[in-house]
Amino acid sequence: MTGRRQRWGGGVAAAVVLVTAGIWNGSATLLLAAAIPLAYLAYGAVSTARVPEELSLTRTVEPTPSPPGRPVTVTLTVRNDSDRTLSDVRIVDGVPSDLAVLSGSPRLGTTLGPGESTEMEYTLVARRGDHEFDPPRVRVRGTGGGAVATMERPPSGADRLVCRLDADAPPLDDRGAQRIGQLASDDPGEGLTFHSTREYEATDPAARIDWRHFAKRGELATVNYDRPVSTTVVLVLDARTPCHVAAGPGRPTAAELGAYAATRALTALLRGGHDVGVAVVGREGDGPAGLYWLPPGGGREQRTRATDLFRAASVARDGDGGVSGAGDGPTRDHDTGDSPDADYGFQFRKVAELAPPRSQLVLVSPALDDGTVGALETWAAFDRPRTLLSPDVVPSNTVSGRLENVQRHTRLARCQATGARTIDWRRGTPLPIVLAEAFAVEARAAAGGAR
Amino acid sequence: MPFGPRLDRPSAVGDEGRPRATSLGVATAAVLAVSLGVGTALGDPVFFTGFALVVGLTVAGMALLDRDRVRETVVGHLLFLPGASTLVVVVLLSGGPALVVAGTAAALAGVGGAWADVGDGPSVKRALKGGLVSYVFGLVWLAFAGLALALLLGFWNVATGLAGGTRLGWALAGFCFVFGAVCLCLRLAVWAVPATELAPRDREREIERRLGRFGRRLVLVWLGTFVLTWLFALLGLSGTLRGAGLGPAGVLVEALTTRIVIVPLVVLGGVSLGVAVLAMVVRKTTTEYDASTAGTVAAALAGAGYVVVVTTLALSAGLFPVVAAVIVLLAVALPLVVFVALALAVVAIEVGVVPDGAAPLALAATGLVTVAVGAAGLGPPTGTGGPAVLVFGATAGALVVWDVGTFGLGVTAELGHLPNTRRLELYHGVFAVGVGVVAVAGATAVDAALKPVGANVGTPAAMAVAAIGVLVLLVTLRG
Repeated sequence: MTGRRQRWGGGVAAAVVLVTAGIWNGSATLLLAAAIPLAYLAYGAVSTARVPEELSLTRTVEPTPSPPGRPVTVTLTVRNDSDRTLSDVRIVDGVPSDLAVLSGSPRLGTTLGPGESTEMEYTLVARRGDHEFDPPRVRVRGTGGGAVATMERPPSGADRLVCRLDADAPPLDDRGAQRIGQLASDDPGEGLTFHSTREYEATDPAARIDWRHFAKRGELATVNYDRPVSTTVVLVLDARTPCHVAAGPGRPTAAELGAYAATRALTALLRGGHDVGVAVVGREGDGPAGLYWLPPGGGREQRTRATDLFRAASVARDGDGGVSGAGDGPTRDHDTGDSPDADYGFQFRKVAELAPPRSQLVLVSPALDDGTVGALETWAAFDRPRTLLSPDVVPSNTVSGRLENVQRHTRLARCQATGARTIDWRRGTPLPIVLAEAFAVEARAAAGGAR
Repeated sequence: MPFGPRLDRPSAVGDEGRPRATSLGVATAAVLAVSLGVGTALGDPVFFTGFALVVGLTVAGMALLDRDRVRETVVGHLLFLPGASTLVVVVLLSGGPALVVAGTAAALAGVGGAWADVGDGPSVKRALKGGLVSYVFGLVWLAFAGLALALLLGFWNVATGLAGGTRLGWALAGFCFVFGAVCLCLRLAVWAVPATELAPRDREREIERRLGRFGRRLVLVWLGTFVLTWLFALLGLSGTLRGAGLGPAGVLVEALTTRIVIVPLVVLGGVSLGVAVLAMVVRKTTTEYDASTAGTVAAALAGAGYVVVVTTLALSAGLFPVVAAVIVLLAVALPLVVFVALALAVVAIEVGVVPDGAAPLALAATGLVTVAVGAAGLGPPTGTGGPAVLVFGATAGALVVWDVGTFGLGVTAELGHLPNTRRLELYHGVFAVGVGVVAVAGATAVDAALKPVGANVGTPAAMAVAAIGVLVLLVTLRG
């Protein structure tokens, strides 16, 4: 599409004024000066614009697939392989409407000589699903800026951003001595991490003798290591209506982040040789008390079924659509059809009843309402080791967001007061670090039960 | 920022904001080049620096009027209206050709306004409204100050006159009057000062009780002094106490009515009244203050500032009453000129004569065209033209300002303010300047070639033909 832009209204006015003043004053100089705007008009009128076929675009998306919440870098390279200079090239990349640009700009304006190339780079926040890019819109102007040609030019390279819950989760091995578990306990035993030394006993293996101690004191001592234990963990994903909110438009919802965290934890625990059960609260499932319930188990099949559950739980129920508007507090995703005040306490209670004795309960919830606190208080009555992993989706740059932050931290403190280990997953903190913190600490508390 | 804090907001460089920095830089260079040319033609190359500072202060004030905080808005008021008024004086008194000087000032103001993202419709309306409000406040403050001064002087004269009188009845009446007035001021201060709220919580009730008791006693004392004032005044009128002034009571009364007693009482009353007023103002502004009142409060403070500045200037010329009167008269009249200019600008923007988004650029370009028109009248007699290069240069400068300015606006409108488009803008700017240089060179050559036959060229018929030719070309090129 080509056309012309009238941008010389000021020049016309100047010419008219100068002609009038020249006649009024009888000044030939002013009449001659009126020709100068004509030069600019002519300069704009003679220029032409065309988007050359030799203008090529290449897009890269890195990393893809990626997990929810992960910054994804998009690079669009523009190359002018024609033999003429493009004095004014403006390009707007077709960012998927469901995604938000975190940094940089998907827009570019530059001049490109023959054989020159340039690139623009911007960062998106990944949300679960396949997000297709629209073709970039290219606009070329003539040197005078009057002639304009616009067209969509499909780029080579990546045309979509794929976001999966298990994007960065390593595959499960088929073999290996993993049934001993990888959660460290406070009890000494065999392992890799130093725990303590004790007096040597005749049945101790020679490999555990502390020879340095023997050299110093002439007495044999045995090294104790942190003893890895295997346990049973039940991951509980909070998918109630209050969890379908995001920090802003185009950002992943708390449910998506929770599903991602649960998927990652699931994989890590299964790789460690633990049995993992899964429950999804806040949905009308086909399990007991309306839960989506997957009894504890291990192996690839368990991971596949659990991941499917998480994937279903992270999607709002009324179909497609994006987060709309930039609210001050967390932005609500689709209307899930539930009342925000719907009571799912019975589902939380049922989870504790279904979980095997001495199993750990890990609740993944953004703690945006008191239902989270109620769940942990309920579980406290069952005397189970409890962990709350809470993704933070509350913006802190608004007044209402700060208020919501205060309320959320109060809830986290209340959860901690029930005896639960509370982990606040702040935005920007890598999830593996958060998970390592959550399970390393909790394992010590649960070691007695796991033994 | 190399030139200090920015006057526009970071978000101003966008769809509704100013052009991008590189484009504006080119436009600024064009304006400065023409200004230097004007100065050279007038024999003083840095001629424009005489009013550039005032232009800058005025633009800065206009930009600060857009702020939400009272402090910045007050500074904006204090810079804008005095700056604009001073600019009018400076332009009028500069001694140069009026059109050239005014055009240069307008061009500088336009480019400054473009940098500060002011000069569009909303900011001009805001400046007009804010300036008017602060101006009215200034007049009101001036009236209040005069009234308060008159009241204070009157009270002082009455009090000291009565107290220092030789007639006993009048002296006693005066003393009672002063004492009662002081009691009233104290009662007002007790009522207004939040002593109870500021007291420790465990002593609140006790202090409240004591203050209540103290306040009631003050009212009783005032009632007593009120009655006594009238009583002594009547006795003084009747002459009953005339002879008593010689007795021991007279000595006591004379002691009570000396300045040593009266002056501290008056000071106590004045301080009490001041504290009461201050407490009431603080209470009012802290309990009923919101964002919408910030502008009014700032205008009120600025109005007081005007009064202080004008009073200081007038007092500094106190030895020359005529000069002081002229200062006051100018301070009252010049803002009216500024308001008329702003009102005309608002009308021009509303009617659509001046594009809203590009109003500062239009002002700068108009200023340069005005310089061109004014420069044509410089030097040799009319008909053969003035300094032709300056005329052509100013015209080309106006076109460059308009071209790169609107181009920069278009870039921000299409791409936002994040992408780096310096190369794109520089490329366009170089071509715009290049076309201008070529056009100026061509026009100068043609002008030089026409000079030998100037008499024939200057005929009305030839000029009409040239004008018609220009207009036909305009229509043709514009399509």
